[in-house]
Amino acid sequence: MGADNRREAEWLDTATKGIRFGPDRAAVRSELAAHLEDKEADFRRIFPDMSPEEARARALEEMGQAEEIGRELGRIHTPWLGYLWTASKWTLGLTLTLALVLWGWRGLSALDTWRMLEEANEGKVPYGALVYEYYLSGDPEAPFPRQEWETEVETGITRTPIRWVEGTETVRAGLYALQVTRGALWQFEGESVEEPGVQSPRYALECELTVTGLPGLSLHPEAAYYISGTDSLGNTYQNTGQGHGTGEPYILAMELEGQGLEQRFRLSVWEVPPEAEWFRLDYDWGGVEWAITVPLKEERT
Amino acid sequence: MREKQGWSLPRLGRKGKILRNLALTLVLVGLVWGALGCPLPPALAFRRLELRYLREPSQIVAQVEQNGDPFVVGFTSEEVVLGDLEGGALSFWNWPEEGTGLMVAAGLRNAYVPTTWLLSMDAPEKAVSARLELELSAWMTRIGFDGELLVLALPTALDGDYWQESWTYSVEGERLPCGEFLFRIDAQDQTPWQDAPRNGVGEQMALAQLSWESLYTWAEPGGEHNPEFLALATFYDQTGAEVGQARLSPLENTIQGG
Repeated sequence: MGADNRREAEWLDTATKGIRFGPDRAAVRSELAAHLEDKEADFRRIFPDMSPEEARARALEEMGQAEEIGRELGRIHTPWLGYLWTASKWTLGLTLTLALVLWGWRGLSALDTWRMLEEANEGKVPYGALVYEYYLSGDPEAPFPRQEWETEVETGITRTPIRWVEGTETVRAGLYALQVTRGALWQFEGESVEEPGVQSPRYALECELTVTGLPGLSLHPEAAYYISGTDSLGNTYQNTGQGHGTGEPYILAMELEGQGLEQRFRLSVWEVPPEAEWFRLDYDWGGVEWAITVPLKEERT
Repeated sequence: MREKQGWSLPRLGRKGKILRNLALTLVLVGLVWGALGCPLPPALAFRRLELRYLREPSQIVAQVEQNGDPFVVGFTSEEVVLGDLEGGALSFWNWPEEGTGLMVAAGLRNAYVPTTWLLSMDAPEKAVSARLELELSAWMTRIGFDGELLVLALPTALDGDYWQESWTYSVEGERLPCGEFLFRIDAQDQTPWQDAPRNGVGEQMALAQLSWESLYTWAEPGGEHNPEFLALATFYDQTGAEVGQARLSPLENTIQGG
């Protein structure tokens, strides 16, 4: 029995030694061994008197010349496909691990930041966001958001929306699609504590510019600093903080919290006359030009 | 009774598995790249920044490193664009109204970031070599817990003794293929400020301590004790004859965004 087993092992070794890729060699060897066992079982079933040793010897004979089979198997089984497969498995495994670690770390950092913000805002919408929403919605019925401490320093300013922005055409510039989505022209009456001395009433167009881009290529917030403007009466507006408090027309751009690929900017255009029927955002910088005309409607729909 | 057929993925051969693994790896590589902040080589990162600033691509003329952080300079017909790739921001310099100008082709410099770069803007066509001379003069005072620490400061705001010190520094420019000259100012071999001898701060230390911005910030209009700073590049032709000069004046040349 021991000699038979050795002969069988030698036969299998010889028949598979031409296969250079180890895992393939092992697989083919076990397949041939199973085939050999089947043949042996067949002999014993057909010839019940045949001894197990003889059945095994006959089965081995029927399998053929080990050297010849070995040569043929070696020719068929090229090793590079096997090596490539192994390499692809390892590469996939390592990349998956790296991706899980990095995104896990990023996720934890984002969670941490979110928790800090939640804690700082005490679970409420930040006051700044409430103010932006108030101006951009242009709702004449909505009360101006106040903070608890602010009731003591009430400035006495009244805010009234007098014209409305309800969406514009979408323009394309570079990789981005830009659209003014909403807003209102506000009339402010009363003395401002922020800008004392500036004549009342004052007018400011508050509008939301939505920019849609590509993943990882959001519009740089500083690009919005180069938006200037013109109204239907021919007045021009420069994008600069230097106009603040002077009574001169100017635009201020500020990035708001966006969603997904959509960025939101709040554009505050000061000293737009109430008679203006439209306002145009102009951009001509760095070889790129675009313009969006924003109709200022007298009715809110 | 018919056996219920369940849906299963098709069995793939070895080639199919390799292709599947490669496709999955590519997707994951994209995710890893994204998690790392989508890093790109400097020139491509500069192009991406230009796209994000809604700008047409400029002509890249120089790439430098300051403390390991890459900076790229691009020229357009309107202005000169400086890309701070680590900081993810562009800044802009006006072309000189006439003659040649000098710009800082890197970020802020201080004791911890001792290297900086200056770049000529519109260097003379005939120039084949250039030399940069820095002259620095600042008022010194002695402050600190033990009275030993020397700093550069405006003495008008401080009591006690003060005195004036001057330093000079010069460096050869490297001619770039576009014809501009790049000057590397390196204060790596400065005397550590803790070891600086009393009344004897080395020029390298001074160069490291003072950034252009701080010099201008410290300067008071009409002040008696303002620091003085001159960065002057001189350009030479093949015969060694002078063909032009350029001075650095950052605050006048930079374009303030918005």
